[in-house]
Amino acid sequence: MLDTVIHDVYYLSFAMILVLVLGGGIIAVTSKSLIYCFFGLVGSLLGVAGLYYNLGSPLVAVMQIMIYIGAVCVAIAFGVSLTRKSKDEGVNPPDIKAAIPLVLVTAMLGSTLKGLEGRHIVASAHKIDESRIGWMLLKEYLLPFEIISILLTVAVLGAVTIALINRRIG
Amino acid sequence: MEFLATLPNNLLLYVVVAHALFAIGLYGMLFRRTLIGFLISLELLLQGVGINIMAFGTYLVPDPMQARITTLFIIGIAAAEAAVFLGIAVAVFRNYQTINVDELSKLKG
Repeated sequence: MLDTVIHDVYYLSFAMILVLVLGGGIIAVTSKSLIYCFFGLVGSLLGVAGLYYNLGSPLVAVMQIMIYIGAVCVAIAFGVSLTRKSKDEGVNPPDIKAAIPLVLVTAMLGSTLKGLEGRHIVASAHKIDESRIGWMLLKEYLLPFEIISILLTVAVLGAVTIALINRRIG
Repeated sequence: MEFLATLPNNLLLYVVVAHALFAIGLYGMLFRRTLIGFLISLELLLQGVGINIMAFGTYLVPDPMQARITTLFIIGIAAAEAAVFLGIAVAVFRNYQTINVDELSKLKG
């Protein structure tokens, strides 16, 4: 009895994660006000973290929440409040261009599924010991890791410089 | 019902959700009017890519650690890209007093 209840709650939570991901995304691209858009993005990112958790990786889920919701979304919120002009907001009405993502993504999905033919599922989503990630990052993935840290430093310095450039000249 | 019960552990579901998120992001990039709206759509698009890599790496590769590391790298690069994009948006707003992409046509011939 208890088992079935737990299973039902699990499936319900998974369905809610899917609703959060897709619903949040749709709110983020279609709502008029940028603030609603921002909250839709937060919901979608939270849902994606839930998907990562379901794929068996609590580490990536926590990283997603920390980096995206903790850093990127706060930066976007500041960006919204610094550049807000209500007459600029909103979306253009849908026209023939709306077919582009539909056709493109359908083609992508079709080719992906075609490519999946003959591939065998060799593993499944279960939790594993993730402490090996630290060793891997400092051994065989050391070069990309260092390059990304340099990239982040350069990007943040560049962003600050670009944002300040007008004030310095003017 | 049997099929539904296997869905949370099914590669196909994750692939379809990732592609749907990619389509939503692409739609947003085509129809949003402001640079910040662009950035929000771009983040959704990158999320689609991240889910895809994570799902393929979990189900099709014997060592699931590689997918996790790749996803962490993607998250880091997306953070750098968002920082640069926001800097540009703020600079554009200072210089032109608008971030409406239809009015930013100074380079137009």
